[in-house]
Amino acid sequence: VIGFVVRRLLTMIPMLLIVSFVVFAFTFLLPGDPARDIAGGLSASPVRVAQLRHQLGLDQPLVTQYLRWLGRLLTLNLGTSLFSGESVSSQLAQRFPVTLSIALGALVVGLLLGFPAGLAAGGRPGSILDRLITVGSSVGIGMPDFWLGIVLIIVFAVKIHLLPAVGYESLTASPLEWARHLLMAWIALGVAIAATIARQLRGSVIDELRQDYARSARSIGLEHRAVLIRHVLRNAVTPVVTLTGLQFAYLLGGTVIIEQIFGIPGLGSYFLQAITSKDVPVIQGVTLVVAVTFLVMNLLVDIAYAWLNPEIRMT
Amino acid sequence: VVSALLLAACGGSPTAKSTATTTAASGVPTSSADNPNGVLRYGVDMVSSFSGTLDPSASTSICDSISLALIYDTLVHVNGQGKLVPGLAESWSLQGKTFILHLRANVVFQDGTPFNAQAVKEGLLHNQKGPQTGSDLNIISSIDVVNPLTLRLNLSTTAGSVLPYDFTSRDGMIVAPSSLAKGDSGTDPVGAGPYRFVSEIPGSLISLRRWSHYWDPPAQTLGGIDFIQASSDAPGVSALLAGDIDLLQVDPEALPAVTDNPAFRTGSSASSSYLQLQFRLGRPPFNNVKLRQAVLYAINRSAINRVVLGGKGIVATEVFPPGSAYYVPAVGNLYPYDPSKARQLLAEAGKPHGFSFQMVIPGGVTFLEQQAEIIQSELAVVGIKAQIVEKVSSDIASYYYDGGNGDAFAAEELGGINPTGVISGEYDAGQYVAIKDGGVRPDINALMQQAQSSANPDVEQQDVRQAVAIIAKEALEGPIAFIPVSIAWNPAHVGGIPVAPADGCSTIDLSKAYVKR
Repeated sequence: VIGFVVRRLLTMIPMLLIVSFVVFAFTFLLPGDPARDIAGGLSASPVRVAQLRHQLGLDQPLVTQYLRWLGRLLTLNLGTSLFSGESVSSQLAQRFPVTLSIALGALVVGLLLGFPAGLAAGGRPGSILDRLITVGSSVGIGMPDFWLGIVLIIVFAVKIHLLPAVGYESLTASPLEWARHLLMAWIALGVAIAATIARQLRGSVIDELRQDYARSARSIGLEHRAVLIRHVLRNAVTPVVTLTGLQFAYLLGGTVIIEQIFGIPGLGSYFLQAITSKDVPVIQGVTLVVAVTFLVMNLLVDIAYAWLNPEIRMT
Repeated sequence: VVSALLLAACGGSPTAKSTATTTAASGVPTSSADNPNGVLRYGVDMVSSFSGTLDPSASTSICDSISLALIYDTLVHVNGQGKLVPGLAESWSLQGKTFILHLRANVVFQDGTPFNAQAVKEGLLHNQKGPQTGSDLNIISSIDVVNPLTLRLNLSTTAGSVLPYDFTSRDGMIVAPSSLAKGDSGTDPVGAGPYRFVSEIPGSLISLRRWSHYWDPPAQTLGGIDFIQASSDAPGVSALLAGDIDLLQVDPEALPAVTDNPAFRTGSSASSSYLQLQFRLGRPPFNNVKLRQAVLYAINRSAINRVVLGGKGIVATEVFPPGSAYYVPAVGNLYPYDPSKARQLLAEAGKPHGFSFQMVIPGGVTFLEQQAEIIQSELAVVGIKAQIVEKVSSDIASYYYDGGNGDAFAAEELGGINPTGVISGEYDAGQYVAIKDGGVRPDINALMQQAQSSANPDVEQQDVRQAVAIIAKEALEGPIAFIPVSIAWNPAHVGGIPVAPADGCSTIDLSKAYVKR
């Protein structure tokens, strides 16, 4: 196992290099001139803009700029924001746990709702409950998270004043307030995940129930519930694990709008600001963190997959 | 959809408006209701508006001033009438290339160190290094400390009359020398303003509390201010309605959600920024004064103000609003809405059937899109075909200015308190917009240089007014309407009357507001 993990970690290096270079190159295609914006926009004098462009190294060729960024990265220095002058690493250290909180919370909501729903629907295919869950999951998948977020704000913050509409409290400062500030974001993002998990699990359970081993278990007199929990679930859950890993990776990059709506200071809002202003060090820093997390999640999913299904060899 | 949802959620009768305008009676705190230690929760869009540093020198967004002005104060203040008045500097004078600055006595920084001439010198030198503050302050070639409360700024040009205006902004915010020495002014700022910095969650919260040794205690009506991330559109308004924030600057589109709710109050003020049709003066069709004038006669500014700004703006006929010291009544109504006059001018210019041009606008900004559509339809009445081209803001410079595409630019022109700065931006030979637009005007340039070199406010006023008259007579640009800045607050938490600022990137005037018990 250790050898497998080490090999996978080593393969991440070229992947991260490719991702970072591609993002770097695409950033150059974005319209706008950070030097002009930093100097004051349209009111900035051409001389001042040229000075700043040179000072920031933005007049260098793309490859030179990339190699300079890469050189700094080798010393674990992600540089500073072109616009605030603040360290990208320190901002990431503050903001990544926030986005992670949103993503993990949404995943928990997704699993808590989706897992039992999928199991119940798959366990009794064709039943009224199955049909209700199938329709509900279709609605859940089709419902935009930002729309649901706004509805939640109107109901729980504006109407009944139960939860705060905006803001964030750190977990260490107050666990209760942390949860109160994130609960609507978790639900807004978690509903679609729950729907996806429910659909996937339903399909897997139905497939597994048709297998010989399940029929044999039933033929020796085991109750349907026991067959479902003891035998079917372990096999049916394997594709759900993969799906959950992918959903988590999606969440890391998909919290931008939700962070905006709820005023949550995570990676999404930081990234959005960087994209609009073409703040290359920030864009690169966020990309790197998200890419590393994505790859690590994939690794964890593969390990879990193998653990659940020993027939799968780690190669 | 978002606005509609909010409107639905707000309820309330549309007739039950509770709008308090900024011209209403004074809301001086009363002793019974005032909570002197109350903390105001001030909603502001940090993500879009703030650059992420608390150091005025490192700041790259003019909107940073919203919080920085409270931490640092400024050397010079602007009063409600737009006049320069003493701030941390008690007085100033200009003689040729020498600018003398007299500081207020007995002022201390929030770490207890003295605010004196040496500290101000260090602060100004620090600001000279900033990407934006440095542009303004680069006319200072050296600074001498004359005595503990007096500095002599030696200038490289005679344009020193702009400095007091610059000192009302980030340029005039002085970071404590102790903070400069530590190098952490971007994250743990120390200034001499009315509220000291306590803590920050970047992009979410900036907490300030009253500085007990501020030089002007009556200006401190609050125990503190928490700046909370809240956009000025629907999500921010929902935060106000939910009670998570007490006060917010609100976009025109989101304002009805508050004005229709009797539990909230709103106020607005016309800013110096205005909707504008900027012509590319350097080439046809708009190098022809008659065609420019025809366009201006064909635009119904009142209709645009009514539709786009909800009637809360002020129709603009010049680059300064009526009531300004720089407004020239003689040219104030040169181009009333008159389609027949527009047709006559088109005929005189040899274009009796009109002409076509490309009008570039910033994309994704609702009120600017509305403005462009109205202009397009009004011009069509006299035979002028305006093709609207939307570009994202970050692409405007490369497309319109550097690329030379498009014949006119319809957007928001940022105003300011410095009148020569407002005019020079579009007509000065050293300015980007003027160069790229073909708008360089030596006659206007000469007037602005003369104004900037004069220590006499009357001379400055006269020169600026002359320039305003030239711009109007030659229809060098098309001012449409001065844009209002609207604010909304929760009267259950906020007493008195917060006053909307003169521009969208200044702090809401809280000197007549207080937090209720």
